Amino acid sequence: MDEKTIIEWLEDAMDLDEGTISNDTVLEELEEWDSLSRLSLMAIVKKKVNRMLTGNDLSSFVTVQDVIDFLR
Amino acid sequence: MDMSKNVLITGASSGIGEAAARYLTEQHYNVILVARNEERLKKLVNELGENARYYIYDFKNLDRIEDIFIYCKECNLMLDGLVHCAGYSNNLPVKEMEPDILEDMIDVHANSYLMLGKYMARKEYSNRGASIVGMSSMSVIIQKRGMAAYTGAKTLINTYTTIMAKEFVRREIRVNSIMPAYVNTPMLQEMKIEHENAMGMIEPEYVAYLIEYLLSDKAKYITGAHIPMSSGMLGDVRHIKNGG
Ligand SMILES: NC(=O)c1ccc[n+]([C@@H]2O[C@H](COP(=O)([O-])OP(=O)(O)OC[C@H]3O[C@@H](n4cnc5c(N)ncnc54)[C@H](OP(=O)(O)O)[C@@H]3O)[C@@H](O)[C@H]2O)c1
Repeated sequence: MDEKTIIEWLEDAMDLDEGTISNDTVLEELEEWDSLSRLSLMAIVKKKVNRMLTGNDLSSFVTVQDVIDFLR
Repeated sequence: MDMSKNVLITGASSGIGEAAARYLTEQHYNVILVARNEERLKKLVNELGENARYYIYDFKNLDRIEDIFIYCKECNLMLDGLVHCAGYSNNLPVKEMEPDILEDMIDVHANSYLMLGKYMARKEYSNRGASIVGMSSMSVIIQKRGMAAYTGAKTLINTYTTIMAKEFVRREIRVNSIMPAYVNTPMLQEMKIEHENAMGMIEPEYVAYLIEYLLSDKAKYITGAHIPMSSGMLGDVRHIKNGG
C-alpha cells in the first residue's frame, strides 16, 4: 500500500478535501476524526486489504504516519 | 457560469416525480430523471428541453446504483439534490404476503434510497450543502390494514432519513422526507381506493412545491425532518367527500 492511497482513505473516511492532511497531521487535532470516521476507516481497510482494525489499533494512531506504518 | 442546481429525481416518469421534474425545470434547475419506462422519460425530456436528461434504472436492483452517479459525472453534473420518488403501492393482507413481494417493496422504496444516499454523500458526486428528499407517506402515521409491506417500507424511509441526516451533516448535506396523504397520481388511480383527505385530494404539483423548497437554500436549516402533508387526514374522521 503506498502512502498516497492510505492518505486518500483517511480523507475519504473523514470527508476531507484532497490534500487537507499530510504524514505529520495529528489525528486527534482534527474535529473530523470522530467515531463515525473511525468506523469508515475500518470498513475501507476491510474492503480494500481485508484487514481488521481493532479499537486498540485505532487508539494507538497519533499521526497519519502511524496509520501508514501500521498498514504498510 | 451556470449556477443552476443539478437534481436527480427517481420515479420521474409519472406522478409526483414527474410533477417535480416539471416544476423544478420551470424554476431553472437542471434535472436528471430516473425510472424504468424509457418511452415516457424520453417524451418528458423532449418536452422539458435542454435542462433535462434521463437514465433508465430499475430499483429492484441495488447493485448498480452507482452507475446513475457515474452517468451524472460524465455529464459534468455535480449533484445538489436527490429526490427519491420511485415507488408503487399494493394492498395485501399479511396472510397473503410472499417473501419476494416484501423484498421488492423494501428494496425499491427504502434500500435504494439508502444506496442513493451513499453515493450522494460522496464528494466526487455531490456539492457540499446538497439536499436529499425521500418520499415517505402519511400511511406511516395511519397504519392501515392491508398496507404492511408499503407502510413498513415508508417507515424505513423516515428512519434512513434521520440517520443519513446525522451522518451527512459534516458536508452540510440535508436529508428530509415528505409524508403526503392521498395524492392524485396514476398510483392511486390504479388502486381504485377512495381518498380520506378531509381537505381534498392533493394535486402532485403541491408536493413538488415542498420538494423545491427543501432543495433550495430557503430550507438551509431544515434537516432530519419527516414532514406530513396531511390535507386534513389527521386520523380523527370527520366529513369526507366520497365517503372513506
Ligand atoms: N399517490 C399517493 O397518494 C402517494 C401518497 C404518499 C406517498 N406516495 C409516494 O410517492 C411516490 C411517487 O408515487 P406516485 O403517486 O407519483 O406514483 P406513480 O405515478 O405510479 O409514479 C411512480 C414512479 O416510480 C417509478 N418506479 C416504480 N417502480 C420502479 C422501479 N422498480 N424502478 C424504478 N422506478 C420505479 C415509476 O416509473 P417506471 O414505471 O417508469 O419505472 C414512476 O415514475 C411513491 O414512493 C409513493 O409511494 C404516493
